[in-house]
Amino acid sequence: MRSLERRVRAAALILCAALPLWSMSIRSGSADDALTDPFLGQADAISAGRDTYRAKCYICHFSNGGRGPNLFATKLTDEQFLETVINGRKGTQMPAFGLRLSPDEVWQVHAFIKSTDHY
Amino acid sequence: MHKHLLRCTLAAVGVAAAMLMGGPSHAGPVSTDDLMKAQDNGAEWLMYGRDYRNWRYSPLAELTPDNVAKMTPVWSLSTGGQFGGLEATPLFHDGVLYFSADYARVFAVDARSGRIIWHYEPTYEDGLNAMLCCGPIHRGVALKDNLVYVAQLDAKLEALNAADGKVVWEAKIDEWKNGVTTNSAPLVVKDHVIIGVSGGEYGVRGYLKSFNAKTGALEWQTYTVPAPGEPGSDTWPKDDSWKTGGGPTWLTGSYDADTNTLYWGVGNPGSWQSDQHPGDNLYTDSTLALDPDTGKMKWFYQYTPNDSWDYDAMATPILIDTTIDGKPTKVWAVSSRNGYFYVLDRTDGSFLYALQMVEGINWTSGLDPKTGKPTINVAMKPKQGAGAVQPIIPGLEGGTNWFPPAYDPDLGLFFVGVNQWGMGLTSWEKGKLQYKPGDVFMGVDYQMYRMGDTIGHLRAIDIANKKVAWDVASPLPLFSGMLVTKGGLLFTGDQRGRFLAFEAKTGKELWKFQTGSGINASPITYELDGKQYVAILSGLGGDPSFYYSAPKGGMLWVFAVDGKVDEGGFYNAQVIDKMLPTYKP
Repeated sequence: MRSLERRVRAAALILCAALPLWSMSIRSGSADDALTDPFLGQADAISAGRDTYRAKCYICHFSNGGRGPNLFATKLTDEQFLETVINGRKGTQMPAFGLRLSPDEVWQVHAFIKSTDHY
Repeated sequence: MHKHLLRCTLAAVGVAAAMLMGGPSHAGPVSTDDLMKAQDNGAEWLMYGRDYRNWRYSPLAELTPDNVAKMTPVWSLSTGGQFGGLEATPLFHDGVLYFSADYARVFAVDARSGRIIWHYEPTYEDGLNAMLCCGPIHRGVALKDNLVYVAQLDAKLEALNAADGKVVWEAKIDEWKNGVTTNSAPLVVKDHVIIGVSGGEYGVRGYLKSFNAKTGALEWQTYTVPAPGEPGSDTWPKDDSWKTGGGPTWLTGSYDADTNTLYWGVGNPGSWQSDQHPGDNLYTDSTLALDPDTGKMKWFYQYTPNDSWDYDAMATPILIDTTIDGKPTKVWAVSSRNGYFYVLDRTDGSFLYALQMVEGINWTSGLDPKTGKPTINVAMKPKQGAGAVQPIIPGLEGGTNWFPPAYDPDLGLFFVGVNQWGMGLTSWEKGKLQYKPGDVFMGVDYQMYRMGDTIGHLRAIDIANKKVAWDVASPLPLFSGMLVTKGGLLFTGDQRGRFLAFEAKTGKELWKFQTGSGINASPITYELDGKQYVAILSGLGGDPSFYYSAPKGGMLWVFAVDGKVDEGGFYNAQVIDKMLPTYKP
């Protein structure tokens, strides 16, 4: 059930990437029902996340921050991270990756930056 | 603020901006003859490098070492937006300043009042920022007839009506979703609008394109990486690596009208894993000489074969007639990211000499004194899965970079910013790098390093005597272009936000003004109503913002000694009637 809910909410985030104004009405749930990264600590996902990070994130965020913030020190919750990557951050140079990355790929990136295997 | 109110306010501001875009034309047409003789037109600044030689030398002499200390701001203007960094060279024609800000937003501003005549705001599809290796910066526009040409970041070339900023024609340069973007100022030669592309870090196959100035029709396209069977293809492996071979053309070139030759710099090869594409990889890291009417290559010179280090040779060649070893010689001079300053014979592309601009260069053990060809230090070439190679000097930002130099014919001095820093490169494990359109296609992780307390060096190079005439050190890297004047002044900016004037002959600092944000743009000077003005854009962004945390900004500053500003009727601010209607009882 949690898995289904996670997929529905992730799909909602994708929809919001296509219709950015809708995202203004999205509110995070309480801590209890917040989305969490299902790939944390999984070696294969961390490796895949590393590859995606190198192909899409590194050029701005580098190994410890650069044009963008240091993602390896992020204080965003799992759900906030997913939402930021999918929807982008208006008013900054952070683009919306919702049409280029699947939620699972974003989770893998998140698993990578939260792992001990990062830069 | 309530979100609904915020949205209404933003919409109203948009309406107000549109109202400001009206106003009469101030600009007459710019003819081919005007562009060909731009060097003699002291009052105006008609193209990126002021003239086709790219000297950035003005014959204006009202401002001198004796009076520049009295120079003060006359007016300034915020470019607003998202403060993505300003790197443009403004143009000045017939009383109007034309310039681009971040995201290729174009402004036409009345130089007498600072009033925005019109403002062109491109709209972009979501996701474009992910394709901009170095931020949403933009480097300038071009003028011809009654049109202002701007290459948008999404690889679209727009011709705007100089009178009102409306789009007259649009041409698609390429598909940005494949990693091709554009941010340089086009070069207009006769009726050709010639534009280069960015994307060397995204696996593009670089090229130059020429569009008809009147219609926008594509005239020619010349690739910088040859297809199999074409000249130079034997410098690539017999596989598909040429298709993703890089060689972007992301700065503006030069033009020699006497020989009808276009000179254009070419960037690094893709990927950065050079052991995956062994060979010299022509025509990456080269300067090309081309026929501007056909795009046909006449000759080339390559500085860094099989580049592993991002040493783009895209820098604008500066065309100089000088004396080398006692002989009158037509040269092009260029300061490269690979740490050397080169002088070449522009009649045939042969090497004349080079000077080492950066201490401790270690990617090569030296250049052949006759050909300039480097002896590669293979220990400094990263290998797949072999760990970090460091420190490599210079770092990927280069001994120098895109910021334009200047040349003073009276002093025979070439002025350029040089940066002393290093880097580490780690090549990915074998098989990890896969080309996917729009993804970064580098194959290395990298880290820039400070190699000491001082990074920036403002240098004057004596071209004829092959030596550095003077050097002024700066703790932060220099990313601002140069302007030199017949009055004996050199203008540039620094990362601290200071706009500076030096005595060109000696490097003595004469004047400075704090603009409030780092300067990475290039100054110009012009004459208006008999008075010499100097203008510069200020706003940290782009590559320098990778390395320094400082206030972002976005301002155009205009300076003079006893300058005039016509405030009569000047206002860039207008009441938003819907938000503040006149009370009617």
